[in-house]
Amino acid sequence: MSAAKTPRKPAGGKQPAPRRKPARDEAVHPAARPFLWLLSDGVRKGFMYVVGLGALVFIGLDFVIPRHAHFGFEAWKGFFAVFGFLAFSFVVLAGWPLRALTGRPEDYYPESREDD
Amino acid sequence: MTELLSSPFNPAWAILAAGLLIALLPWHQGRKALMLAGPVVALVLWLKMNAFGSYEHVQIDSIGAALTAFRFDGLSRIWGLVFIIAAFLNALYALHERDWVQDAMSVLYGGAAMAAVFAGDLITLFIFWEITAFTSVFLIWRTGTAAARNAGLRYLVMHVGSGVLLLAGAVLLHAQTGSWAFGHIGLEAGLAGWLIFIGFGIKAAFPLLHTWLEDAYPKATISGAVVLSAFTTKMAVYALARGFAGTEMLIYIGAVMTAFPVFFAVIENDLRRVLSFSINNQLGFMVVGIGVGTAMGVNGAAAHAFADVIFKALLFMSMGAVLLRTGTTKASELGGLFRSMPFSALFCLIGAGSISAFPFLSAFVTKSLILAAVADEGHWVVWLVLVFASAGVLEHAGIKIPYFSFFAHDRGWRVKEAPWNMLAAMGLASFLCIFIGVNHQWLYALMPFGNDFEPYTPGHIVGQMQLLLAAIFAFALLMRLGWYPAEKRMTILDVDWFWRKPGKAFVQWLYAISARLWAQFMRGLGWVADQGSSMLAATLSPGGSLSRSLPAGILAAVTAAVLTLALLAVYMAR
Repeated sequence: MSAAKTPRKPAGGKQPAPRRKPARDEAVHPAARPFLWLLSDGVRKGFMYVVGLGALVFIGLDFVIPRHAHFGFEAWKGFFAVFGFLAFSFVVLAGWPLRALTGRPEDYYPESREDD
Repeated sequence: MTELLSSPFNPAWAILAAGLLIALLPWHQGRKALMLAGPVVALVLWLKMNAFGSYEHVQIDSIGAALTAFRFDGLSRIWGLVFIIAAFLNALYALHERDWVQDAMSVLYGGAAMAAVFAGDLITLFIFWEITAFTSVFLIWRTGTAAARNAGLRYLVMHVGSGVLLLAGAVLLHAQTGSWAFGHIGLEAGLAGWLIFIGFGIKAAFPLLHTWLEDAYPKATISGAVVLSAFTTKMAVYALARGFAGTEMLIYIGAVMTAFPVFFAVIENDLRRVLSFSINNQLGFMVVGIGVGTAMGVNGAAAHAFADVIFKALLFMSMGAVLLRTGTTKASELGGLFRSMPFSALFCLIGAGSISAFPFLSAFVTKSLILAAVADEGHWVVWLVLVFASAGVLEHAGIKIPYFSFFAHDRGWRVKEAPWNMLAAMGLASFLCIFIGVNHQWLYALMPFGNDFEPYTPGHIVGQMQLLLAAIFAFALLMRLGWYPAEKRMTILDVDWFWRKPGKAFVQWLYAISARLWAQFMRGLGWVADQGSSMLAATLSPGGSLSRSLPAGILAAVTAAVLTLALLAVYMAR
C-alpha cells in the first residue's frame, strides 16, 4: 500500500521537474471552492469597471425616476454618486497625512512591550 | 397563582437571575444552558407584556424615594427586545468557551443594561448603570494581557465617573423638583441637567469622552468584544433619548461623532479597533436623531440602535472568529481567509452590507429615518455631514473589514472554519439583518412613536445605490492607483495620548517631586529633632550646663516657673 504512494524515479536517474502549484488547494474549504474564480485576477481587474458601470446606470436612472429632494442641491442629477465618490476619496486620501501625524511604532505605549 | 403568572414581570430579572446562578454553579454545561435559557425566559416575559405601564414599585422612606423598577413603554420596549436578542446571540456565540468568570459577568452585564433600560427612576438607573461598569470590565481583563489590564482600569475610571456624575445630577435634580423620576431632563435643568448629560455622554462616547471605547473594546476577549458592542453605548443612547430628546446641542455632537472616526478607521490596522471606531460613528447617527427630537428623529435613533446592536455584533463575531482561528485581527497580517472560512466571510459581508445601508439590509430602513428627520428640520449642513459619514462607513466597515480579512492578498492562512455555535450565532444575526431590511414594517411597529415613513421608494433606492456604487468605484480606483494607504503595523494615537503620555509623565514628575520634598522635609525634621535632643542633653543631662554651672536656687526657680507655666496652660485650655 505504501509502495503505491511512493513516486517512481524517472529512468536515467534524472531528478523530476519541480511540481507546479496544484490546481486545487486541498486545504481550501469545500464550500469556498466553487467561488474561487471570484478571486481571480480577471475578476479583480474587472470589478472596478463593473461597479463603475453600475454607478453610471444609477446615475442614468436619475433622469428617469423622480427623486424626492429636501434641498435644492440634492435634486441635481447624479448628486449622490458625485458626493459619494468625492467623500470616499477624501476620507482615504486624508489617511496619508493623518497617519504621518498620528502613527507611532506598535510598541509606543509601554504596556504593549510588557505583553511582548 | 394564575394572577401571579399573568402579572407583569421585568424581563431583566430573568437574565440577572441567570447571571447570579451562573456565578454560583460549578457545572460548565449547566452554566451554558442558563446563558441560553435566561434570554429565552426574558423573551417570553417581554412577549407577555400587552400594555404599557409602570410596575414593581418600591418605597424607600429613608431617602423619600418611590422607585419604579419596571417601566414598559414605547421607548423601553424596543430597547428591551434588542437587548434580549443580543444576550441570546452572545450566549450562543460563546457556547464553546470555558470561562466561568466571563460567562457570569457577560450575563450579569446584559441583565443590568436591560434593568437600566426598564428603570423608571434615577436611583434604579444609577444602580444598574454602575453594575454594567463593574461587570463589563471583566470582559476586558479576562484577556489577561498587561494592555488589557491597563485599558480595563482606564475604562473603569471613566465609567464609574459617569455613574458618579449621574448620581450627583440626580441628587441635585431631586433637590430642585422633589422627584427621582427618570423622564425628560434637558439642559434647562441647570447644573443637574449638565451633570447627567455628561454622565450619559461618557457612556455614549461623545467626542473627547470617547477614548475608552477604542482603547478597551479591541483588547477584550473574543466573545467579550461582542457583548460589549451591544449594551453600554446603546444603553446610553436610550438614556439620552429618554432624558434629552430635542436638545439641539446633540445634533452637532452627533454630527462630529459620525465624521471624525471615519478618518481614523482608514489608517487603523487592528480590525476590531476599526469596528470600535465604527461604533462611535453609528452612535453619532443615533445622537443626531435624538437631538432633532421629533417623532421621526427619536424613532430613527431607536430603530437604528436596534439594527446596530445586531449588525455590529455580527461584525464583531466575524472578527472574533478570525481572531480565534488565526490569533490576530491585524489587517497587515490577514487576507485570503475566504478560502478557509467561507461561511464566516459570507456572514461578515452581510454585516458589512447592513451597516453600509444596502437596500434590503437593516440600516437602509433605519438610517434613512434619521437623515429624513434631519432634512425635515432643514439642517442641511448636518445632513451633508451624515451623507459624508455614510460613505465613510462604507469605507471602513463595509469594505475594509471584509476585504482585508477574507479577500485581498492570500497570506497563506489555511485554518478551520469557525466552530458551529459561532456560525449559528452569526447566521442568526445575518438572518435578522435581512429580515429587518425586508420586513421593515415589523420594526417600525415597535418604534416609540407612530411612523408612516416608506424607505423603499424608487428615488431613495436610486440615490443610495449611486452613493454606494460610486464610493466602491472610488475604492477600486484608489487601490488600482496605489493611493490607498497600505495596512501597516502601528499604533494610531487618539486624544487619550494627552493623559497616557504627557499626562502620565506629569503625574510621575509630580510624584517624584513630592517624594523628594517629603524626603527633604523628613530630613529637616530629623535635623531639628537631633539639634533639639542634643541641646536638651547638653542642658539637662547630669553633665549638662544646668547641672554644672547654675546654682541650685536658680535651677529650682526655673523648674518652678516651668511648672507654673504648664499649670496656667492647662487651666487656659479648659
